[in-house]
Amino acid sequence: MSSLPSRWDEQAVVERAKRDPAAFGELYDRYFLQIYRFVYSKMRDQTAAEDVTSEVFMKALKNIGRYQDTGKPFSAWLYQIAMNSVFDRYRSARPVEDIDDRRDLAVDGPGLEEMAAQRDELRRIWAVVETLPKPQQVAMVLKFQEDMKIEDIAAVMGKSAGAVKLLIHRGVTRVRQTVGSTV
Amino acid sequence: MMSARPDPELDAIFEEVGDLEGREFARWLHAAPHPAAGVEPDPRFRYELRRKLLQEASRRSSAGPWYRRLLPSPMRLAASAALVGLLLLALAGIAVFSNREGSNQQVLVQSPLANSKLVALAQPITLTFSQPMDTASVEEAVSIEPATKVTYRWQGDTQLQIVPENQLAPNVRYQVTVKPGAKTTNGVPLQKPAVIAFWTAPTPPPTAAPPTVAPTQTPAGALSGLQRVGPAGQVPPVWSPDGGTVYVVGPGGQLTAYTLSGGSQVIVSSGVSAVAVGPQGPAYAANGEVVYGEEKLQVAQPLAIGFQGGSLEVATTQGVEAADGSQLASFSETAQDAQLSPDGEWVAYLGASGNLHLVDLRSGQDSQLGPASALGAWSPDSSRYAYPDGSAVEVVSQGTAAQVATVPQLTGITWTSQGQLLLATQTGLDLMEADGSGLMVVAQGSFQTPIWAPSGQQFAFGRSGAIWVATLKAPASPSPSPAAAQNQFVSQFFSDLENGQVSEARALLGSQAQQALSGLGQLLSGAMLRYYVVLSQPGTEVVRVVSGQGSSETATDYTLNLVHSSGGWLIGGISAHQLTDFGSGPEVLHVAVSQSQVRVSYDSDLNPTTVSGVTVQGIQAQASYDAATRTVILTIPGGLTPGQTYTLAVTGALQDISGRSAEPYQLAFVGPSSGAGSPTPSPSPTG
Repeated sequence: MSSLPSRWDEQAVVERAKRDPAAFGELYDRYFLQIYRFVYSKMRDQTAAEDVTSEVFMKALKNIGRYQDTGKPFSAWLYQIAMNSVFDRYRSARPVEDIDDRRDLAVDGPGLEEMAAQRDELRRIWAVVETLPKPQQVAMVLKFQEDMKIEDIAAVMGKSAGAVKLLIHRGVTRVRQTVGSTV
Repeated sequence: MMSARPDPELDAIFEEVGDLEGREFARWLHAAPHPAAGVEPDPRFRYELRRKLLQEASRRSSAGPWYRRLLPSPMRLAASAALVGLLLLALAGIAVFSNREGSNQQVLVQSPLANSKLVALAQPITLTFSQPMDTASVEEAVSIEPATKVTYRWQGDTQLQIVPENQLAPNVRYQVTVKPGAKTTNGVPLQKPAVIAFWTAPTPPPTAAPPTVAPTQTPAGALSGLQRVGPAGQVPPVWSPDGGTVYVVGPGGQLTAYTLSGGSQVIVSSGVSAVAVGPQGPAYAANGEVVYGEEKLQVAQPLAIGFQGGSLEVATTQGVEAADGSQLASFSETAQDAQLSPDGEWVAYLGASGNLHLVDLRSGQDSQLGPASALGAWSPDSSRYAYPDGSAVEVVSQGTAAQVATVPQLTGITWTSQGQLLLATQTGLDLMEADGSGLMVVAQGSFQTPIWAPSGQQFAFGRSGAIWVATLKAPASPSPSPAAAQNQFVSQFFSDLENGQVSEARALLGSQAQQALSGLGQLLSGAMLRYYVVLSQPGTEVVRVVSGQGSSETATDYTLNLVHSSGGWLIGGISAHQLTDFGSGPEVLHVAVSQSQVRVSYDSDLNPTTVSGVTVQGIQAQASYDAATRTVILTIPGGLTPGQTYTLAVTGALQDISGRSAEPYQLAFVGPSSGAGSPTPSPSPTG
């Protein structure tokens, strides 16, 4: 999980990017990998991940002039765009069978030993996460994969911190029930 | 089970409802890497998207200020009125505010090396400041870890080049910090330290001292089938992939295909300045166009043509362009000549300054390697580049150049299909391994610009104004020495672990090592950042594995006892020793043991008066320091006793040039047998 840059750096770069659009390249360099991996983890397809990532940054470029620092990391705003773009894509194109297929794969993984088994276990867990209701899924990805603070996740999702905590708790409980206590 | 990493926020969610099992599970999941964490995007996509975004940003910028497009017309009028008001206030001498860069804005510090991996060792560190800086205060405020002697070069007052006195150390995380003492020319200080981190490339493959000795004499009958092909021009010839045809550009730029079985065909009658052969046949540059089958591209000043995945790419004096007109890379200086790698993912170019550059076309990173007298040749697998610097032959591997041989009157270099180097000189042809070993003369006479055929044993060369081909029965590459085979085996083990191929790595372990490995979870956790060999002796290798995240790195030395098995090598035993406070002071990078010397290389420039902090326990040794290689040399009068175990000991008395003390460190090694350089196999493991 990549760490977020300090608030000071971020604000300065964002402000500069507002006045000088070319400075947007710095923001792109800083956040590209995080956003790409986030999108990829949802799409599981390189071409789709590339399309959505392009969309995210194009939208960010178009709207950065309207971006206002509310004390949240700039990345939270990018994640918000990414999340909406991913969901738009799901709504328009994603076949429902994929999720079921993935669940089958998740449950049928062979029992490997030690580390190999652990990696396999992780794949199963994250495959189960993808079967959770979307809000639980997003809250878990942003917390466990992106290492974001509850408050920032709440900002991305437009929910209260309490609601995010509840989503995470429910998500984790559901995952544990599904995969069993094998870890 | 992976170690759980507590996150108070996450813990609280479960503790509030008394769900401690849930908390443990959440901790574990939080610490475990997500399956998508290692997904690497296609670098071309990353580069292309960046280019499009900046193009769009630039278009928007030139369309006028952003606020103008956001405001409806009446508001624009109001804004204009407000602007006029502000101007009047300013003219009246009243300070209102300044939004300009360079006044009281925060200072941004950037570097092209920031977060780069595999950084070349001969590399200045460039810092760019967003505002004009007071250069003296910046130089005072810069610090580098590991401690490195540097000089400073400024371009204007916004760009600083930090030039290391010696090459950077391999396999090291460097951190350059500009402390808040740095000020702008207006006296505005940095508000907090600016930190730039990057990682250097691994150690170049071990090379013998560059051989300047006379090569061994010509094997009888090595060269045969000498055949004149056609008149030579300025452009080197190229081979068809099957080695049956040579494409030669003649003196007037006439491109002709010569079939070795007989026959020729003129493809273009004049003006050809570059040629390459792709899947669909030859591509050439002539009269401002690059032509490849039906494709025609308008390209200004093409220097070289190549192919990436079957698609055309063209190197010009300014960069590399793809067939769709997109820019794959921009050169940091104007190129005089260029060569694209066989896989089309790299370009070597000779800059106007006489320096050779290698550019990774996947990331666009341009690494300057140093002076070169001409371009050289890419290895067939594109992993290495050999080039001449006067009579020195340099080979670049994994971002680092190493001199492998000195060959007077050098006129050209090519790689054979077996991975050896064929060197043309004004007096003959020499052949050697890529590390400079086994140098031998294979033919007498004058040879220029040799070009090896993609397969087989033929090569083309220039002589007396013509292109010739000949067949060279190159001696087979000697099988790797036992020491090299041992290193290769150990590399395989760690490479498997690094790539997550745990079962493949396990297959290289004996039963005792299998058991030992179970207790070394860190090695299997997938958190490995890099590894390198600290000590290699027959039957034993000490490999350092560096793990961690961000600026926090930890290191563990793994000692591997190697044994011969029926199928080759096997790891009979493995033990681990975690280093204390890794990176807090000078760290040992490599230890080389000979009968009379122990050479200990460091990552930091050391204070030479403190090298007595490095000793061999129980032995009187004279310590000296080679600053160029950051190596402490312990010379042992009377030599080491073969087969006896010794302990290298480093104490806190050893300091780097910044005064930071080394953490205590010990390493066991064995006195080598006289004249022996090969590993002695240990008994096979039982069971």
